[in-house]
This record gives sequence, structure tokens and C-alpha cells, in this order.
Amino acid sequence: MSAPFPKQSRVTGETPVVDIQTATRQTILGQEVDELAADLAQLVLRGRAHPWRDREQRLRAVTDVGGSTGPSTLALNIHGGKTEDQRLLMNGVALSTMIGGGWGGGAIPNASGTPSSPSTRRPSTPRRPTGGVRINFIPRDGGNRFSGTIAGSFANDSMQPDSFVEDLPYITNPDGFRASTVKS
Amino acid sequence: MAFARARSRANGEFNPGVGGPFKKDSLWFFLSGRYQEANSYVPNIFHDKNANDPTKFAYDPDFTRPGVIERDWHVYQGRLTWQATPKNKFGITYDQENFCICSDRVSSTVAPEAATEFNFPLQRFVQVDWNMPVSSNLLIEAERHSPRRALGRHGTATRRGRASERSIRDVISAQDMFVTGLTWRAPHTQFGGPSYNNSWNVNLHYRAAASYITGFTCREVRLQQRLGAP
Repeated sequence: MSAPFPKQSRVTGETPVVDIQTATRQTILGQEVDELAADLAQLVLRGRAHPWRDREQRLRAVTDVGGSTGPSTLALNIHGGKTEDQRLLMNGVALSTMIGGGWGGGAIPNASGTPSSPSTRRPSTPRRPTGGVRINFIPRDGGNRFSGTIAGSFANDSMQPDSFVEDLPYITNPDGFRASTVKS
Repeated sequence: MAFARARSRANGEFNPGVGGPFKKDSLWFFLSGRYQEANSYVPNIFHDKNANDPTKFAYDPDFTRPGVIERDWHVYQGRLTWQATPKNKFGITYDQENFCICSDRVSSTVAPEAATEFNFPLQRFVQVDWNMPVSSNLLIEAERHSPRRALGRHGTATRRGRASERSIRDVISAQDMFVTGLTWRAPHTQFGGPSYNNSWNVNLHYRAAASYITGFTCREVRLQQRLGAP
């Protein structure tokens, strides 16, 4: 998985060219995208990577180190706004239902099928009914060449280190108990 | 005395995608999917040997079966893109997902049979889009998006198909209020049981926009409507 830290987009004064063979809406997004995250697989990482994030609420109040709880749809708020202002979008249309004010839902499009997902944090405008975080998933189109992607990962408890300090067995582990001895 | 730490039983994902042409320069497809799981052992809690036994109320831990929080996600997605004319492109995206935390809220003071199941058995959205670059400065686009979602919180037996067990468990829960704080036998009311829910959400979203783009500014006329109810 690539690093979740966002990259700054560059705005130039060049006249945009509308390319009819690819997603023309990318020209529009170039006007408004502040930051692009390299990996959308973990929304939780995306949210935490953004420096403008105030805090996250609702589903995950506890820090998830290493993704042990899997992906989450988090309600993010910024600059003192409301979490209900967040919008998850697919091609610019709200992906979420109206649950909880419409900030999200359980659906998380997969990374292979949505290659880019610009995140914006603009204030409310006539184009944006809410002023919160907006994550726009853009589905991947096929092309004239057959191609594919594949990504995977796996871990289990045998790959975890034992957190006990071996040199201090009588302080941290009085009776020699090791968690790895308990198997289901 | 013993200490235990949180351990992962299995954590991983498989996320393939493949695409290509049905017809060169005209019709393309892309298919993708993802399976993801994040199953974690819960320290210091074990399955109850007396679970689902209506004649026994005591919590009898089975030390060979630690409690586990199970989470898994399935995503299936397909997209078809049709370049009908040099300036008219249509697309349809179909995405179906399901997600379950089965079982949710197992903890050091909540036995596995007293946990609940937080389940999204169906999350589906279908999106149809069209765009037409009238010129290098003017883009017209329209989209229709229809998400459908089912979600609910239930006893942990529902997904496993043990309805008879669930009926037993939903009757009486037990909680040691004074010594350990342990809850077992049936979900405590604070976890949503017995007030389970099973909800459907069907929405319909439309968007249409005309964008005029210069080198410095973007002027856009947009119509967006959202219908439905949570």
C-alpha cells in the first residue's frame, strides 16, 4: 500500500484541453482539487493524514494502529464545521444515503475500481450545498488495451511480535504466560 | 495472574481488477472486486460453554475458544463505458457490497454470545452518466445515481442461521453487576438488544451540469436533486 500522505496539486494558467477519450471531468477537477491522496483504500488513513482535519467522530473514536479494524467510513469535520457536512461522492453525485445527515454510509468503493478520489475542503458554495470534506470517487474506465491490477495483503497473529519484555519477565509477565499459546 | 494482548486472527484483503475493450475506440469495460477481513481476538474473554442452554445460567468459559470480533467486507464493481460518438460518452457503474461486524462489541466484559451483529447485507448503487464536450471550453454532463442500502443490528446468531438459538438468547441476559461486570447469555440493552433494527434506505440522486471553462475560471450551471428517505 502506498503512503497515504496527500500531495499538493499544482494550479497553472494553461488553457485546459477537453479530452474526449478520457474523463473530461478531470479538467474541471483541476480547478478545485486541493490535495490528492495516493491511496483511497483506507478512508481512516486519508482522514488522519489531512493536516486540516479537526477531529473524527462517531464510528472510530479509538486510534486504529495498523488497520486492525479494517476500513471505516468516518465522519470528518474541518475548521469547526459539522461532520454532517462531509460528502462521499461517486462521479460528483452523493454516494451516501441520508443517514446521519448524509455524511456517509457503509459503502466504500474498492481501490482497483476507483483509481482516483480527489478530496476537497472548500467552503459552501452554490455548487456545494455543504462546506465540509468531500471525497469524490471516480470509477475506472476500461481502455483499448486489456490490463488489470491486483493487490493483496494478509497477516495473522503468528506474524505479530509478542509485546512482553523478555528481560523483565517478573514485572510484565509474572507467571510466564504468553498470549500466543491460546489458540482458537 | 496473566496478561493478554490484542491479537489479530486474520487481517488482509484481495483486490483484483481487470479491464479492456469490447469494441476498440467504442466500448470498454472494467471489473473489480475486493474481499477484506479484519478479525481480532479479544483479550481475556472466551466462549461460554453454557451459551444457548436454557437450563444453565452460569458463565463457563471455554479457554480453547477465545472471543473474536469478526469483520468482513465484499465489494463487486463493474463499469461499462460507451463512446457513442466522438463527443458523446455514456457510462454505467454497478457496485454491490456487503459488510458485517459479526460479532460486534465482544469485549473483556461481554461474552461472545452476548454480542450483537452489525450487518450491512446489501449496499448497491447503480450510476448512469453522460458527458459531452461541446467544445474545448464547454462541457455538459448528467448523472443518475440510485443507492440502495440495507442495514441492521441483530443477535449474532442471525447470520449463522441459528434462529432457534437466538430466540433462547433474546429472552434473558445475565450480568454480574458487582464483581466482574461481565455480561453473558444475551445482549445487554445498552448494545441494542432486544431493540434490534432492520432498515432499508433507498435514495435517488440526479445531477446535471454545464461548465464553461477558460484558462483562469470555471463557470458552471448545475442542477442537483436528491430524493429518498433514511
